[in-house]
Amino acid sequence: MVEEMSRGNENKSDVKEDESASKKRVITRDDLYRRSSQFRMWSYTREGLDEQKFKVNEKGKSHALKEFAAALEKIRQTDETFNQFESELSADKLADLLTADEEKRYLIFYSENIIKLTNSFRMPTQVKATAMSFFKKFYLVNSVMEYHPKNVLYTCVFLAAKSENYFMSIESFCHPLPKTEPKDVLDLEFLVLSSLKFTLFVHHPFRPLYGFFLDFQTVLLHPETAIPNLKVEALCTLYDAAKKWLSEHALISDVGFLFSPPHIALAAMYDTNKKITEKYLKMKYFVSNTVEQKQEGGQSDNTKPPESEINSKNYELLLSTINECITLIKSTPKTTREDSTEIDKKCFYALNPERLIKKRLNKLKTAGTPA
Amino acid sequence: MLEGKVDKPLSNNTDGNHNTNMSLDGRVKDMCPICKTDKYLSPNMNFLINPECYHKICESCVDRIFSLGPAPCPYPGCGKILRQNKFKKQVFEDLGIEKEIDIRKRVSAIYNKTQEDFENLQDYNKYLENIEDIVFNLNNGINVEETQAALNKYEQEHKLEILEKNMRESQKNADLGKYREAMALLKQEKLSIQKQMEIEDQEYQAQQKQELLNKLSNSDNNNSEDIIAQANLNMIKRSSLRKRQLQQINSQLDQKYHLDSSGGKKKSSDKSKTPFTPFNGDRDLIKAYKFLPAVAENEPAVSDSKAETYYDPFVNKLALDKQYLGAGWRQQYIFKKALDEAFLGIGCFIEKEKS
Repeated sequence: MVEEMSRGNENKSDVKEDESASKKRVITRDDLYRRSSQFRMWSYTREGLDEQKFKVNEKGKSHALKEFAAALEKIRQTDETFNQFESELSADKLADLLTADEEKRYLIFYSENIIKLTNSFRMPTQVKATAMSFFKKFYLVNSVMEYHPKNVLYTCVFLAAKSENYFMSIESFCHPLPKTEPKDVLDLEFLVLSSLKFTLFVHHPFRPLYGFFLDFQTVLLHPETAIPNLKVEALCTLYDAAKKWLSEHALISDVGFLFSPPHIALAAMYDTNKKITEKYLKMKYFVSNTVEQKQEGGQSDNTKPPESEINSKNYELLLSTINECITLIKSTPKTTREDSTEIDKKCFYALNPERLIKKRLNKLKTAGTPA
Repeated sequence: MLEGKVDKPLSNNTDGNHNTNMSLDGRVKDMCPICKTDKYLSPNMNFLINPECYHKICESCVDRIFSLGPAPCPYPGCGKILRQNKFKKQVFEDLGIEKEIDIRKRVSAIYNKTQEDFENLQDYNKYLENIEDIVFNLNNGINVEETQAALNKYEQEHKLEILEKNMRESQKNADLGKYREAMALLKQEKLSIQKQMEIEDQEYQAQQKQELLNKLSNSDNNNSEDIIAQANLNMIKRSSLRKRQLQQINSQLDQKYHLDSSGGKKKSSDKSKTPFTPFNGDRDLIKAYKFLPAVAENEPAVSDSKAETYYDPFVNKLALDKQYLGAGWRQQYIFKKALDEAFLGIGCFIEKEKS
């Protein structure tokens, strides 16, 4: 889905400067991607992403503290023994909030749950990836200390199924889920939608991957085989492995925010078979491009020497981006169950401060009576 | 719109107290003010008006007063000189509309350019706006003399041009007429062929029947069933053959006629093939990939890597499925879409561009 451009202001000034040139302006496929909501609203640099996560964590913390204060006040009014232990019950001593890192690990644990859930429903990869994207985007806007991930996760999956044309009724969706009513899922729907800023279209690396699988055939096999003894079956296995690689590693990581889909797809292929992918990229950048330029017209003759330079520069840039992408995906930590239960406990009390205070109060009471 | 110009009795029916004087109004409306003939008593009576002053006069009065040449309008206080040949039937009840239409006709006969004559829409709109101004002025009596003078001057200056445009328009209408005629002719021809074939079929069937009877009477009993079955089979074969023949003839005729009639239309469809883009600029038509032709339909997928097609056993197999093809599914679309997406944003380095 390509939306109206955000950089309209820049363009207007362009138009004023040279109207004749703007008439012949060419919109490349890259420009089309730049106008997608995915690029405009949901693409970050690495620092930008970390900063955003930090901000959300701060927001969640302040929200949790506010809730805590409200709960404290409520208990003060209902429980007469409260004043006795007031000093013990302050927010500094009691509230144990999640750090940004803990939040991150917690979300990774739930991301894995999305994969399990979608697999159990036998949903297509597209739905799985979209659900994952929705979930991640939601927690780039909200903190786990504001909304518990469990129901948000279900809503994201249900919404993703709808937005990817994989319809199922809310009853049949909730039926296999433990302790979940249709209301729990549907109530959050609008919240999720508004957190996503109503941008439901996601560009996934899966279809580009298939496109590259086809283009590999064009470049490497036709008209003659570029690598000796390369069979089309080898490309098939490469494709299958890369696809598996994407759904096993790339989905859980944050690369969707950091790289464009073709880069992720190429990273998957590069990591599964370096030799073939490298050969393909080289042929693509140093052979076919010049052919296209020749077709374009006579003006390429003057600019030919720098052309190849630009090509090699682009090639280097692409390769480094792909490598970066691979290392990032590989370095995504897995969260163990024990780890997550611990964070889960924290999160529970952050969301329900009343329970935390009461528990503490009871403990203090039982400890206080003998004394 | 015309309240000031039209005389009182004519605009009566648009008054507010319309309901109370209904019966009177109805009488006034249906009565000739000159000879006082009532429509009630002579239902064949017709009213005529003259675009000079738009006063209603009944047909017999027009005959009586104007048959000897131009005469002044018999309405008291009007006195405009009217001619019999200008009288016409009233189409609209509201005389204001009647008048405006007359003016419009007159002006558009002079200002008869069409959109093709202008380079851009803005100029054409200006031209139309000008026409509207003239019509409004003439209709509402604003600067009538000046406007009329300007109109006449324009007509004098652009006489040749106006004539030329008129010719062109009539040519166009004639073309349309020709096309319609041709289509009607085509239909007729098809019908006659069909009829002829039906007659032939009937004759043939009768003949066959006769033959069958002859055969049956000549042969012994055991064979008779076989003979009948054989005859039926022949019949079915023949009818399907005939159907195909008919279809073929029809399509041939169609082609012939379309070639004849579409000669003039081709010019406009040859325009540039750049797809429409909602963005500021044209879409890049140079693809980043070379598209291989898809596997031909009805041909089994080949795993031979030498073949100049994409190899994907799953999709290639679907391409043989009639259900998919019937629904408009084509494997090229799948391939093209995937390839397009593969290069969508390959040059977008987010780390570089967003920082």
